[in-house]
Amino acid sequence: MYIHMGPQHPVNHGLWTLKVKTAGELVIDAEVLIGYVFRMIEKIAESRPYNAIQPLTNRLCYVSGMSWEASYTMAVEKLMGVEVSKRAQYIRTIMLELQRIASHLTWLSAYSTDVGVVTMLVIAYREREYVLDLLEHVTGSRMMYNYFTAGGLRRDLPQGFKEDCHNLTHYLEERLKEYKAILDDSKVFLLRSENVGIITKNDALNLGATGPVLRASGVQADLRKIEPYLVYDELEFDIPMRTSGDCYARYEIRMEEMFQSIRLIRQALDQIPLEGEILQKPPRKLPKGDIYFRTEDPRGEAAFYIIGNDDRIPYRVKIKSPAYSNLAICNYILKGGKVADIAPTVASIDLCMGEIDR
Amino acid sequence: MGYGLYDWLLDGWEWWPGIIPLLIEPLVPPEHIGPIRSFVIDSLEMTTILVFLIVNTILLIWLERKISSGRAWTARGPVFIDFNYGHFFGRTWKFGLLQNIAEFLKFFSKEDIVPEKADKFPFNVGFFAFVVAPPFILGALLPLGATLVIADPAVGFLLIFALFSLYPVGVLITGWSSNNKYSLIGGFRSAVQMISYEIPLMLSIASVVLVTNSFSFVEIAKQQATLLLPFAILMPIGFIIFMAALTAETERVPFDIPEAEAELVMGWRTELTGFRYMMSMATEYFILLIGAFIGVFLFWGGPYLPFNLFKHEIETIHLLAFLIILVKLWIFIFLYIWVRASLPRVRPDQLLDIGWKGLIPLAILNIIYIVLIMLYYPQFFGVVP
Repeated sequence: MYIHMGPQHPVNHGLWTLKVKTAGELVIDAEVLIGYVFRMIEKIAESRPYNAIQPLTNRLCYVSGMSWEASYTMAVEKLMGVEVSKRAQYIRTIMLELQRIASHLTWLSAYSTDVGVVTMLVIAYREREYVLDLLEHVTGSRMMYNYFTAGGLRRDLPQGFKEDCHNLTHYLEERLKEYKAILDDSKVFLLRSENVGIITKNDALNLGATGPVLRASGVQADLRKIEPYLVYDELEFDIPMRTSGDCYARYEIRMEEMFQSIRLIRQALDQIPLEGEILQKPPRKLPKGDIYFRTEDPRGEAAFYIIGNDDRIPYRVKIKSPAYSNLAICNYILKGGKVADIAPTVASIDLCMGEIDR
Repeated sequence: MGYGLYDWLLDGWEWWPGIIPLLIEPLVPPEHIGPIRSFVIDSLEMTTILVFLIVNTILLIWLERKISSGRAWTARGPVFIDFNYGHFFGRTWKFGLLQNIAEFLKFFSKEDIVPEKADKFPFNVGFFAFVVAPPFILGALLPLGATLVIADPAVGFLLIFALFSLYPVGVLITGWSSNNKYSLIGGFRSAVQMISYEIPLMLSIASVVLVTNSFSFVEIAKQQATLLLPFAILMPIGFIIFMAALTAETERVPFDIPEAEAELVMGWRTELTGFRYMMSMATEYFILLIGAFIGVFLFWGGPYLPFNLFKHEIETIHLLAFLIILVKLWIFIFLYIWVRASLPRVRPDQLLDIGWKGLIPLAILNIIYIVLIMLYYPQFFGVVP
């Protein structure tokens, strides 16, 4: 029997279709159909000045716009050879880590709902609101920040940000410990998460998984450590890793990453230099040449390949989405599982259709 | 049997319905007057318990929306649609008590959609005959006080479980006939779940029956009064099994797999719209209410309090017994709402594992424990050899 899960179905957070072939409760085959929110962002980027592309990159992912604009901005800066001041780099790091927490909290609510704890949906969203409030205070927007720009940042931190951010990290740390305890102590949650949607280390590497999915399978791959960009090499943090490769490992990785982000934010707040140019004037044109620049998105390895043509308009902008790479393993790990496992497995990958269809 | 609430109504001239026997006296032979009179009284009593159950069902849905999808979800639940209590102490006092009634009316005003390719006869008849109707028959067996009950047959709550077991049949018929894959899977899941959880439920109740030697709610409650403590404390394993199995029977979290909204949209009721959907949801809560009734009488001592507190008053003052039952009922229901607000749902195969490998052996163990006590220390359960 074929079951179409999508394009509008509670299992997929976003517009896509999962075509599942089942025998009773057993999944024999699964096929992913995408393309419902294709917006030609890569093609539009070939007809716009490089600074007008950045608002488009915000719209790639609706839960972590900041990390995408960071990725694009840093790629452009590297192509133009612009060096950003230390203060701007620290602010960028803080913003990216706040965005990572917000994104992971969204994931937590989505995943908990899919295993059936609807209460966690509301709780995690409530905490995310506090993070977004802080981001709104800095950037003026909750979703499409448009804060990073080639040469630095659009504006400096507002007054009192340091105290607010410190308070938020303490609040979040306390609350996250509580929520982790709520879920970890729940036998039913472990029943639904452990040994579900297992992907082994070899398969994860061969199928091109990235981010928390890859780290849950036993590969300690995090670009913040491997190829430090910004000030990550000056800050202390650990890369969480699990070897079991199941939904529970992915859940643990993301929870641990939130704690590590809190650690990073605190260090960055303490070490942030008071002096430094926030916004330098960048060159008007992209030089001739190409650049491939990758960053660690909340979902994994996000990358931009930009070809400059000695013009304001880039010749080509190619986007590499981590969620797209992780979607590819979807039908592989669903095979042989139960119909009831589809929801938590798909949710544990943390898909974002905006960046997959682009 | 009967509540005795309406007997005085039909006795004579004191009250206007008393005129009914006098009016029909010339029309029917004198030996039929008695049965007609008791028929009228029975109808009034059935109406009473039905109104009691329906009002409590509506309040139960309201409480769940207030607690589970209200306070637990950092919200306030329904707030606006309520009686006008006025404005004092600096706020307008509204609790949303009439929200459900407003929504019932809304559901009735919706279009009734029968899927074009659905099997019309089972879809229309099977649903109402097997899902909606059976729970409403049960009212007669539920006592509202220490002795107030309409009917107290020898088979007692066996009848309740016989009617309960019609429910999965209706769910399967509805799910299958609505010609939808989600409904079909949901219907089969429901059937599997009901069949496998009926056994631990019956086994846990069997332990109570072993001790009390009765199927009657009234009798079981009375025997717990003589034991000083209710069965929930004397046989905790049986009580826990009963709670778990009842959760599965009422299809609530963590055993709500027949309507697992994450993967099956709305389970077996995906194709139900308007008042059909409303009736299916209301029936689910109705069954939970009846389950709470059973639990209160079988394991919490019904109207009696532990250590024989106020035993004489409870037996003579019906209102007191009724209020105690009501309070216990709502505490019981609150436990279920609490569980729903905090637990995920299990997978169908894990559900069967819990049922067959966990609850049934435990239930048998519980029965062995009861039998051993009955054999070697019968005074524990108040049995004097």
